[in-house]
Amino acid sequence: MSTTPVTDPQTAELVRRRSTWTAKLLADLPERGPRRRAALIEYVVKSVLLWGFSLLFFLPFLWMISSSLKRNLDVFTIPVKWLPDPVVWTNYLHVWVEGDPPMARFFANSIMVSGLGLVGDLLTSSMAGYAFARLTFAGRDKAFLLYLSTMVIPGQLLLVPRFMFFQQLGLYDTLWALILPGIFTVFGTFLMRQAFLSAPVELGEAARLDGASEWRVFWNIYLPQVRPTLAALGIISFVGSWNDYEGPLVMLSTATNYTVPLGLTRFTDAEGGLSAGFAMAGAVSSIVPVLALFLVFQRQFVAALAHSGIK
Amino acid sequence: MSNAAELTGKFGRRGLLAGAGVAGLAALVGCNSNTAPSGGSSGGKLTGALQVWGGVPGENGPDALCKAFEEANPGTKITYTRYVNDDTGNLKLDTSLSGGTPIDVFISYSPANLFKRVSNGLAVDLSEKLSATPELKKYAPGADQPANFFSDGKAFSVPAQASPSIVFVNQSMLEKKGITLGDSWTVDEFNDIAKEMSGDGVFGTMAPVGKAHLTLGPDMNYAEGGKKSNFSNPIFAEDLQRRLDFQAAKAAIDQKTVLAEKLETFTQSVFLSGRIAMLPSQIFITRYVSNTAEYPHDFITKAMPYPTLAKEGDKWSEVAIGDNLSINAKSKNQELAWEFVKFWMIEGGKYLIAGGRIPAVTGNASPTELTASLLGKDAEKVFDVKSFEHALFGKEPNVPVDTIFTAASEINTILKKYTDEVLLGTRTVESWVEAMTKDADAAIAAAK
Amino acid sequence: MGWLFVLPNLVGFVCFTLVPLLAGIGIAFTDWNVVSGLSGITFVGFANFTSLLADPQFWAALGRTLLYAGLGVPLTMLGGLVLALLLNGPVFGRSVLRLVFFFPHIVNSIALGFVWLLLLHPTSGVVNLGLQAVGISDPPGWLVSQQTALITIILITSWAGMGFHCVIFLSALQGIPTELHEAAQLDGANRWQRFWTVTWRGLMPTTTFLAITSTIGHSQGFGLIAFLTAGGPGDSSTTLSYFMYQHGFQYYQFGYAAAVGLLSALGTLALTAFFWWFQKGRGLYT
Repeated sequence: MSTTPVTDPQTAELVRRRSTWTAKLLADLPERGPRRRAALIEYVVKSVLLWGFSLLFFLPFLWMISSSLKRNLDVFTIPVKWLPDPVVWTNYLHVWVEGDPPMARFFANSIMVSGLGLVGDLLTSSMAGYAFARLTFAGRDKAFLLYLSTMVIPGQLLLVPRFMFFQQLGLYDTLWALILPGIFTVFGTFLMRQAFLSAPVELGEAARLDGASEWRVFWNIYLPQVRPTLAALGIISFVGSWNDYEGPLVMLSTATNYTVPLGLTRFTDAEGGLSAGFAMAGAVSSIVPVLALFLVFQRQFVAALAHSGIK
Repeated sequence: MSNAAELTGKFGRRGLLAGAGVAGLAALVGCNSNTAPSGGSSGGKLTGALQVWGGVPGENGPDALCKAFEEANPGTKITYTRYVNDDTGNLKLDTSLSGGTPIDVFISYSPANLFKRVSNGLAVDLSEKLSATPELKKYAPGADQPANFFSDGKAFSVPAQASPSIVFVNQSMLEKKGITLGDSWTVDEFNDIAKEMSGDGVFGTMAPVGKAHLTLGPDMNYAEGGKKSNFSNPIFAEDLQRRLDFQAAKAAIDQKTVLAEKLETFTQSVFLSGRIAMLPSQIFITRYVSNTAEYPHDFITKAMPYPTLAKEGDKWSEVAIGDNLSINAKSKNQELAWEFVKFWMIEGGKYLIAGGRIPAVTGNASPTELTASLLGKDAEKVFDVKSFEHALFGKEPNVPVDTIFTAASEINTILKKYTDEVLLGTRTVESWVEAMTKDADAAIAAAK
Repeated sequence: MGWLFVLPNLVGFVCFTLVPLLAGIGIAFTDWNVVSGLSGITFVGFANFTSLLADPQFWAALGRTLLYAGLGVPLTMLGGLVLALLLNGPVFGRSVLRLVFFFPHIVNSIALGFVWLLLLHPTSGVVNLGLQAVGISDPPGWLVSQQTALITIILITSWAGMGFHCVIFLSALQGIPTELHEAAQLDGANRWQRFWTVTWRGLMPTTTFLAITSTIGHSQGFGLIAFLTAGGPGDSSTTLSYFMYQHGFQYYQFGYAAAVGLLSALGTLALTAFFWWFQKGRGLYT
């Protein structure tokens, strides 16, 4: 929804008569006159530039969809035929129904892993990030730097020790071996800390003076401030665990426990030949939840516009 | 060496197997009096559960094989887990083995991987068991011809596959150019025909056939018993120069395109889409040729045996052994595991051959039967069946089995790096010889 | 009180990340090939490090990594920032655009890689066809030429990372109170000045964050490199992380690989410390 109230009666009339997006647009622009003209030109130029640039970004997605409807032989031919010929709808059928186990199983596993990881990550990271940013306690900054410095060590080194660790814990070949590391991340803490740092310090003062507990200050005052960053973290955390291949590869062995990326490898044969049509049908299917999540979360970006400043 | 040739000639593959068929029955009878109590026994047979890890997808044969074993041995349960046969997949198998995950039987697909597992005590010594089983005796140490990979003179695995390389030929292109082929051909003849078949956007082949492996046989990359590398041998430079010449003459696809389109991974697509006329390759390509739904093509595929150096034939054939089955040293059910391994080797072939894997032990099956199983039903529609029979089973192969694997991975990486540079034009062949010798020697020395 | 808030994250982190991490570092001082199990670990002290420092391929990989991060990080950040600034105001179809730029982050990396293979194909790719059309007769080989492989990878990974940076910058931009912008406007500041005094300072914590994580990412990521060029042609695109992968996962020299990892980590740490020091006192509230 627009943020500035429409005062100009002529604009208000236009808004009433035209469609929603033009209404929103007009409401966002300055009032009529040369400034509006300049703003309109800027709008058009920006839109053209961005949409032009975005074409490049559409390509991998389009290729995936196109490939998912092709026969295996046609997928990797060069020059590429963007329109599949013939169109093979049965790839999806094969992947979802005839697979053993079928895609639905991988989806269920992935949703559990990424969903739980998401919730846990948001919670623990925002708490820790808040603490490192706005609470004072002994050794705070030093502890944070130490925390941070562990990020520099390459994840590859983690793979083997983690495997042995989870074996000892008896968590090998369970989904928990994937969920748990995803809940407790330095990345999330770091991101949230930076976000809290950008929120004005005075916000909590009033509430504290009124006797509110630290938890309330955190939950009711600061957290809503950083909602956009929470949304960003949510998306990143979800996508990260949804697309993770090496983690499940090392931690899982029975096929019924597989998550989606690992499940896609079941379309590779012993010589490394990828049944690309099937794999891409699976891959396209797996993007859908991520897109859905993105669309849901990004409302937060917009909603935050209404929550600016100190209330 | 002449003794070996004699003996091979006398017993011949089929002769040996016919005898083995009879002996096999005897062995089975003998087995009954040896029932070990591990896992329980019912009427002389073993029971229990086994975990088997292999790289072939279950639906390409292993699942059917395991089920057949279960039916033949009631009270057993075999769980087949497929691991992806790439770097991370193999690491996963290794960490599982050393980490104590219950695995009873595992299959290695490259000698380097096998030896890694063997040298860390993860596999059971099968030498005696092999010697005691007539059908598998040839894989034991001390057999006339090494037909297996040995460590310290012992066998820790048994190869389930004998994969010959043959040449897949696009029959239509052959006819269009008016070329007729004999029963066999030499390397030079192949290379000449490849040149002839090129043109109009079609390449004769992916790369010309080299002479190094056929000439040098096993351990061709090593000299002085493995202490040094062998790349200063002029035959390597000749092979490389030939590749450059073919590239220039557009008889082989240029390396730039190969890299840009990742053609080395999709050789079957290159052949089946008609970009090359002939493809020397291992046998698994038949699976893609049969799959006309996913790989439609309108030509018949003819098979020719791998080219030889001399008209009469060579000492060495281009055959690779693989699919090495091993029993995990930590397995709690080693008796049953051995029964399973034997089953896979002796009777499992028919389940796997449809997946494009020619079993090392073919039993009593005739070449016609084997070819029919390999090529599937409706074979005549896409294959020149007789030519496959001839190419695969026409001659007794003399399998060159490598015995030295020092720094094998490193040498392969170095080889790829410098060969790519030569084929891309940024390095000369002389410089390749220098660099290869220097770096490979260093890698061997470092691996001690 | 503060520690209570940190605790959940900290405990989990220590258990599931820190302990394996320390074990991973420990491996750098051993000669281990994993397959031998825990009993096969032989302690070799600094031997891995001395051979590493004497290995010319290590230095070559290091040089390439410095180039990769040195160009890649600023490029990605700049791209992300520009996109975020543009997307922060009225644009046609803004919500869709936000998603589109984020695509590379969520799309299967085989798809990403293959599309670029297509576009950059030396003879039939759109890029070279376009270059030839404007008269450049011998266009570069991009991914299949030793001279250009690394730069091409830098460009591709920057492109792939921009959307991620954009999303984060956007969320941060929206956290800057509009009152500050209005106040600056009232003070007579023009757009450029407003950017520097309000936006840039408000973004400082985020910029630091992205600089650090992006540097770390560049020093570690190798998935796209593995698919596109496998470190080649030759070894022209073998960065430290790919070098580490080769020694660890292909040659099974885990001690050596861990040593590479440790050195790489130390370098990144130094850079991180620098970024940290740089942002002190330059934010809005610090």
